Amino acid sequence: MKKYLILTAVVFILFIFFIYPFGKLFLMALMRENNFSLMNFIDILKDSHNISALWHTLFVGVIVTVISVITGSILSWLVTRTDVYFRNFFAMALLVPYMIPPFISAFAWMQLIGPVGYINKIIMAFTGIKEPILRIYGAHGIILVSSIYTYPLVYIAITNAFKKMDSSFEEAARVSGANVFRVLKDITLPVMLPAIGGAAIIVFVTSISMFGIPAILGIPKGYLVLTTKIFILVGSYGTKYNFNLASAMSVILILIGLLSLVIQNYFVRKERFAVITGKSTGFSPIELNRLRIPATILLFIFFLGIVVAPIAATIITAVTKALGLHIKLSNFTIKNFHYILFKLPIVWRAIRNSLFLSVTVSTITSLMAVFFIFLDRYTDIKGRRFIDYIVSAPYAIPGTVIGVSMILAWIRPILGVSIYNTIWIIMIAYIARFMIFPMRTVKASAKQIDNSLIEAARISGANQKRMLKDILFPLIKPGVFSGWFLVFMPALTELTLSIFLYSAGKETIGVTVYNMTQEGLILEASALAVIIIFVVLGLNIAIKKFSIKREDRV
Amino acid sequence: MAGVTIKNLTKKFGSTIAVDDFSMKVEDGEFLTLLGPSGCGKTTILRCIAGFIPVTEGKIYIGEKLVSSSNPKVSVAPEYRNIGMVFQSYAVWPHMNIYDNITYPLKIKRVPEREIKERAEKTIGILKLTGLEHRYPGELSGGQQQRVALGRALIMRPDVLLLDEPLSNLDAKLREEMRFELKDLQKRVGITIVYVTHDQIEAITMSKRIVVLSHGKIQQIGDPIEVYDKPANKFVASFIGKANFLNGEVVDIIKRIKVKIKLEGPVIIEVEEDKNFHKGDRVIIMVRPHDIEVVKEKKPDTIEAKVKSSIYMGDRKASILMFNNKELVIEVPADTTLKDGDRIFISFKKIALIRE
Repeated sequence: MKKYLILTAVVFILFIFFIYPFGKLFLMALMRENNFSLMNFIDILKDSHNISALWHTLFVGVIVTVISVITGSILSWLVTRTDVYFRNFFAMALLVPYMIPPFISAFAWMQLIGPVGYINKIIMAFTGIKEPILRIYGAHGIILVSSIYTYPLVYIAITNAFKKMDSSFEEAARVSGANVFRVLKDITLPVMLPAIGGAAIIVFVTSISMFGIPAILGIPKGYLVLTTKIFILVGSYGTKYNFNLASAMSVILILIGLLSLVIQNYFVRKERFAVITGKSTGFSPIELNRLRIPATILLFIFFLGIVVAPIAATIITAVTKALGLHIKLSNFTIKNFHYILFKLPIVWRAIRNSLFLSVTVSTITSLMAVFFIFLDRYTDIKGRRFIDYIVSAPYAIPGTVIGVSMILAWIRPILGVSIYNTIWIIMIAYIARFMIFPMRTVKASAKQIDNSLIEAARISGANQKRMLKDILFPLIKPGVFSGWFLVFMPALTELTLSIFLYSAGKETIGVTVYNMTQEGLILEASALAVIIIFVVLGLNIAIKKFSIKREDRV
Repeated sequence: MAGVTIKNLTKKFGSTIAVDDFSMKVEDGEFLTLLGPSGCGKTTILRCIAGFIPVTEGKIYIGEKLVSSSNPKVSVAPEYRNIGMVFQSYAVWPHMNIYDNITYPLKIKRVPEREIKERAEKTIGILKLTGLEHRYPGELSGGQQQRVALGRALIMRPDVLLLDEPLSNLDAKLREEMRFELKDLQKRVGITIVYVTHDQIEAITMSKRIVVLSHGKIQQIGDPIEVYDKPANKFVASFIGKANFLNGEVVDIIKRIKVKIKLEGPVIIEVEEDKNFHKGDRVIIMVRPHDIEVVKEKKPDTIEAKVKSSIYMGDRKASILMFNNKELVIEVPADTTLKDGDRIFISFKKIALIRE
């Protein structure tokens, strides 16, 4: 009886959040006037605009991947393996671009090198050239800002691989007569290749799924990628079969992602690399000697130019009295902040909506994760293994596609209930999108709990309930907490899903900033962006401090 | 080939002293073992010789060549020291096949392809790896990987071979086999070896000389027999083999030294000892469990003790005796009858004196 209740609940959850929306998407892609047909795909491939969007997606994806992999690998090697100065500082500082929401980053770079950005103005003033030289709109800008958002992914992956790599691989090459650079070429790079390949695929998939950056830097000049094309298609009610075409395009986007995963699996033949999982026997960092100071300076220039400059440009815009004024103290003001916080009711409404969504969604997803993991490990309900596959699927599905699926699924009332145009549809979409994070962290902490701990509790006389309360829950608590924050942070500043699903009065913070930039409210958008940047960075640092303290206790 | 000379080596990591004023000379062609528990500084000394870490103070010579020094500051990079090294984890590169792994040092030195082939064949033959040249490390057993690492270290004809706990990842049977193989190989190649281990059996069976280390300091240097039979202090005695300790006092010296053990008795035992003792010195008597025998009757140099418990070990029997409120461990032939609670007489076949 109890078992059937649980089973019904699981099926219901999976159906609402995952199976129904994505099933509907695939159906729409393969349907024309109630008949199965491939017409949608044929129509898409016949239109040269679609082909160019497809080409742009691949082009941007590949270039961003190449740039991120090179940048991330070099930075990781310098900071992790050499003796550059301020390594602890750089280890944290170089990750900042990944903490800032991508559309905020795109907006910040607009302030720096956009047509009326500070750099162009300075160049024009010094050289007398009348036209702005640096162009941010179009492929260049999208590639630049996307690469800056994604290189930390490579950095993190490579750094972890370095930490796991047995340093005696390199030392053995040194005593064999190879110098530092020869070791890098013959040993370090080849041994790291699987990690680098894995990171490259993650960057590629992230890049082709990106919405905020190509929306802000591509749409104004008509440079469209698949995600922005889908967005426009969904909104153009005049186009015949627009939902079918958007679905088909979404399926193509999913297929590209899946294909890249298959290619990666083919190239990284596991057995040859299986040996790497050794314990690292404490590195002695590589001495750069004469290059130590130049390398440190280079890292600083990178940090200032890539991390600090766009944020500084946004701050300057945010405190300027009017757009286009010279940068001097008398032109500075805090009235923009005052205006958005006290004169624009929409801002507080958006903050309230986003806070509500992020708190509820992170709590619901964490609880669901605990429930699912419990089912997986401690019950014998049939098909429990499938939960993990279904819940993990949206990770490979771009936000844009999830947005489309949710619209398709809920645009008509179901059993007399309509959630379209309410905050609930946004919540369902967020849950589908972010469910994977607590699933992973809770699973990871559950994995560390040896079955003997559970058995020992039962032997000691605890019944199942008591065991859960005294042993299991305390032990998975860290996983639940980190899962909660992993959802809370991106949900707070989410743009992609919200822009598809919001309605008047239900704007989120992301939607509000985006709409401000579209309406030309640059000063106000800057002020809001500055607040977001500092809140996000502050939260990140606080979490890091908190988790370090906790590790100490354990 | 060459020896290694270390003069007053000190290595600090921050404020902790890993190696404290260490001096010694490894002779050309010698098999020398650095022995000690983990954290005693043995691996640090090896890594200083290899050049992976700079010395805080002192000098290291390989042959006549100064390779590490604090003053004047010298630190020859590992790739210019011409040393071979075998790591605890073997560090056989997973992305290269066995042939490429072994010949890598020769490729770096741009040895002609034909010579590389000849030397590789020879090395692979010596190490019994023939037929595995084109396999990858992931397909090899631990023992085979270990031999690949050895081959890679030997093919370059190094001046010195450094071995960092090379046998500790092998299972017990293979370890025993490899001990003989390594020893045999060293005899044939005649290379200078510095061997690091925490395993006393390895040290005793393979080395010409052993350096026992604790907390970064030398406790004793000597050949295996010296270190086992005449330990310099309590640490060495208990680290190498099992040992019982009793307190005593030197009561008389007549060419030979007589030691009287203070206990109900008093028991007087005589021992030959070349250390310079004086009448009245307080000493520690070290006796190994298998150097204690059970005797039938009381004599002036026997001790009376009570059997606390015994275990049967197949080839022998181990018992714990109570003597003067102290536990004594003995190992006697398996057919000796010892019942718990029995009062028995024992005598010492061989003892060593340690200054208190």
